[in-house]
Amino acid sequence: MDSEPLSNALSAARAGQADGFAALLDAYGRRLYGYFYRAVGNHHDAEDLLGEMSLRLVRNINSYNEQGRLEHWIFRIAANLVRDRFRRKKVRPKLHSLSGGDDEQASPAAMLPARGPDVDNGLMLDETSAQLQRALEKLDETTREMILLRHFGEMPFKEIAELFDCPIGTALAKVHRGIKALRGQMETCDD
Amino acid sequence: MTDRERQYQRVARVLDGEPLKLDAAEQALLDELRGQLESLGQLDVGSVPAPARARARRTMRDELRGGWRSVARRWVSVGLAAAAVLAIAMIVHFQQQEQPGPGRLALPAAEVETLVLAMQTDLESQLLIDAAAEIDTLESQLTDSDVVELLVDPIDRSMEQLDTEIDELIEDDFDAPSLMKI
Repeated sequence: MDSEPLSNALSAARAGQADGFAALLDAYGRRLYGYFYRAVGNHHDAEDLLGEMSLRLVRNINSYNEQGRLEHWIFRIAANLVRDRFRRKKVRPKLHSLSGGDDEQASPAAMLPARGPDVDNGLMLDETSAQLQRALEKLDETTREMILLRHFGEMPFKEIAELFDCPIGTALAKVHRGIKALRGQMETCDD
Repeated sequence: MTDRERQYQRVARVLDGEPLKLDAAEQALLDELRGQLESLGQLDVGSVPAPARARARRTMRDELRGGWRSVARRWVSVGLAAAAVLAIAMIVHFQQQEQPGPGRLALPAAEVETLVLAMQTDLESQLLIDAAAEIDTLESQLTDSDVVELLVDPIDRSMEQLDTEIDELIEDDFDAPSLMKI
């Protein structure tokens, strides 16, 4: 969405107008849903999270201070929702890290159930996408979240580093190693 | 910080939009990372499923309505509380204005209770004093013989009288001649 329509949508949302929120959902809904789906690995939870995200948007829109980009603020909320979800579920499947990360225990993504392609809600992922999901679930949580936030939220590495409380160089190094591991996993599947 | 870490830091800053001049190794890393990040497009899952979109919109709409409802509820609550306070203030005001007339008791229950207790205590004290005075009067009217008389048991007194009569009878019989002949 261009900056002007986005600004108008933000103003309308801040005024409590449903149209403003609907426009924000149109603008970021696809990326948010993609982030949630790749983070939790199934459409049911992704739909739940999108609903919760909508609620947070309505409740917190006036706390956005316009210091940073709106999408980064939105994806910070989304990242917290995913973390809360895993914390509540307390599901800790045993994962084999591909990225060599050392924080599997602390990682919310480490609690993700290893699942195959989810075809509910009429959305059929193709085999490549399903393989990518399986490979993604084998990454340690921090690396996976960093990759997802960079891709879906277009979050700068500086903000990713702040979010995960690490140096900016470390954030990029993790993403670099993570994507390499994903590619390696995908090539193995192709063979 | 190692050279590799420094490289990552500088490349990350360039990816974030800072205009830094990179050396050859850093530039190679930057190129590799750009290619990697572009390949992440495979993660996209397409459009939001219709049910998920509808649910999100419904959630937003309900929250917006609920928000207004809760604001309205809050104002109604404040109004009711204010009305209750006003009503209590008016009752107190009118009660203060209403003076007790002749023969009307306008004392609070606690004060009445204290007053009754005080009266009861006074009455009991007065009764005790009167009883003591009565006892003193009776004591002063008694003589020593009255006291002895009162203390001797009536049966003892009867026995003593019988003894006296027997003695008198024996004395009379010793004086009679018929008895002396036997």
